[in-house]
Amino acid sequence: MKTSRLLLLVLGVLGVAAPASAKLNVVTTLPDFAAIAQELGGERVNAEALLRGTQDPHFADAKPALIVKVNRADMLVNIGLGLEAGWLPVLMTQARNANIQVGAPGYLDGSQFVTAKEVPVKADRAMGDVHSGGNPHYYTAPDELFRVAQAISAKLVELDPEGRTYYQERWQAFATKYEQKVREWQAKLAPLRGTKVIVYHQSWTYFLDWAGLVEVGALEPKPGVSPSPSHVSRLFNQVKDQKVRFVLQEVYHPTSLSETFANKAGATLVVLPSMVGAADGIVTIWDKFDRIVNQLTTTK
Amino acid sequence: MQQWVSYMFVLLAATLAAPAANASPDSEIHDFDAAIANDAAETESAPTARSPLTGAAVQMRQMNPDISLILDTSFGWFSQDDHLRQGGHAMNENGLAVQGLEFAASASVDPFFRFDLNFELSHLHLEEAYLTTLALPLNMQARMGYLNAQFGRENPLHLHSWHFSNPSLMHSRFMSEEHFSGAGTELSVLAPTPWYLLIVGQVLGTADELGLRSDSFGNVAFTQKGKNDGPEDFVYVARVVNAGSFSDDWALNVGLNGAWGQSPYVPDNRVTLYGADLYLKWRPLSTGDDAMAVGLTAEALVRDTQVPGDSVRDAGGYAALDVQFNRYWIANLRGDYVQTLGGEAPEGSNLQGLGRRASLALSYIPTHFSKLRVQLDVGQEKRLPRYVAGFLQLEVSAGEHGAHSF
Repeated sequence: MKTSRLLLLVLGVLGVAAPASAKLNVVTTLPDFAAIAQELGGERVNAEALLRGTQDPHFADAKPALIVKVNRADMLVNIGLGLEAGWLPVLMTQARNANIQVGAPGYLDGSQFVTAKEVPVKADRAMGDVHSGGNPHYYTAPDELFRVAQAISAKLVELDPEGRTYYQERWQAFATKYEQKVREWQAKLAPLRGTKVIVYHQSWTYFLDWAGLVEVGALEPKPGVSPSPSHVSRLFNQVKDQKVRFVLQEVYHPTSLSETFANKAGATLVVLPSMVGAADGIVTIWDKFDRIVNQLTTTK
Repeated sequence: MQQWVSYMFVLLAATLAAPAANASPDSEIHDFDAAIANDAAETESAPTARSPLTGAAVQMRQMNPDISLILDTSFGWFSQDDHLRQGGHAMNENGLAVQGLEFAASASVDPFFRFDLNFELSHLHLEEAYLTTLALPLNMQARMGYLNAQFGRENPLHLHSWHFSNPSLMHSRFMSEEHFSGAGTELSVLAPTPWYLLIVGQVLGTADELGLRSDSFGNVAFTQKGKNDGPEDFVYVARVVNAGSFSDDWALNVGLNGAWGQSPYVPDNRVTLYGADLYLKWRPLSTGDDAMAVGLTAEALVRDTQVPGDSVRDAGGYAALDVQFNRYWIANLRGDYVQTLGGEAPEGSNLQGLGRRASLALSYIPTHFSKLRVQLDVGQEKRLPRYVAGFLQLEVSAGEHGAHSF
């Protein structure tokens, strides 16, 4: 009798704990993808990101709490190009969720829909932490993010065909807003075309190309290698006459060296939100690019 | 034995059948309708993949396993020759040595299995080689092959994942010179609870050295019949892990472990291991200081071993504090001990003795693929004077090394 009561209790707990939501459960690595999925999926979708916007996406922990999230996902959207190689494969394997494995219907690799830049002819670690498929930080550019958004919208329709009309209406609204915002951002950024910048890590390549700014160097001597005094000194001598206007970096890199370099070079350090959630008030991709554009256009 | 063969077949069948497990005629019609709708939708709005298939990108798309080589080489110094046993892969004498050269490969086999291999090239032995299922129903997962026992936090870790240049005293005495590992199978279930609750069961064979690697359990040659004659000749391992996050910045893992097998001292007698472990980590993700972290690991176990005419109980444990100042510097402090609690241990066995040690390590990590560590140990075995040891360790990893568990 005691055994059967215990069994009922266990089953009850499991039953209560089982997810009751009929919404499509979208889990993404990048907060931007979660924000996009939520905007495109509306009330038919629950979207959640594994990374925080303040976090370096190269170095996340494969925490058990994240395994639970991936286990319950109907759809997994990742950045790809090896950016999450240090932690996402563990989450995917240990999640025991066949729906989101590579090649399964619920798996979406965002990098498949972008034109990768800086694809090395020969990938060698002597070049730093380079990614053989190309620079994975495409999410800093609105146009690349738009292409991934289009893929997310199509995937939502594929996984939840009953909501097809709903998703397509939301996609139209998203695309219309994108066109309007791009016009607004490009108009604001137009005076900055050709402006020279130094970056901390090569995260801004896609954005700079899109906005028409020019990267003339990076504080990291090679991707993923800490800035050394000799490299920074050499970089300063190379660019001191080039009228560098900005030193750009993400929120998760240290600012002391960047600030010193910027002061010496007559430039301004601008810490930009590379991801949704990187600063207070940035909850959508529109917020993110509004903030980036405003920071660049209002910084003297 | 037949039961185990049957079990393996059932497991395999369940794996292969898993994708169709929920299919019914209605759902198939629904799926078909959905497919038509999908095709229409895709034709209208689906974007096409744009990544250029050139150069290295083509190489990425080839189906080779991810392969890496990891070298650990060290200089070690001990203030005296009589010191605590250092354990497998650790420096045990003054001088220079290669602690390990690991060849690691991993790949998806098909939609149902993943394959992982770790082979030690400098000492020429297999560390692990196993298949992992990817598509079992009911949140189950099976692993089959040569496996590290899922006992505690330290035993499953390979050399390059250690925070010190030597394993804990507990590991060396109770697990093995290498890992507590064996040829076997594992079934685990992720419970459908709101938090992470993982239940793991393993069965390890004991047929020969490659069947079982353990300093606690005897192999099948030591049974009275000298051969495998029943389920009591296997080693059984169980682990339950509860984990939760209080916030984005905090994570806690608590594990309970048990292992049961036969004694290496009396044929067909028993040994039991009971253990508990805890891992608490703080990493301020919410403030953007995610390169900084503090972790506390504590692990302890008790072993009961039947020996001729007696039963010996011994125990061991360690606590380690990891302080990561930034992306490049980590300091680690560890205190560990082992002790016999009761019973008359056979002369020369690893059941006797008291050991204590404190270790302080500092690691510099220039990139994700290299590490330089200095370590200072102060240790003492019960009847011997206290000793001091120092280690300088260099670790490099070349190739596509896989991700690590939390």
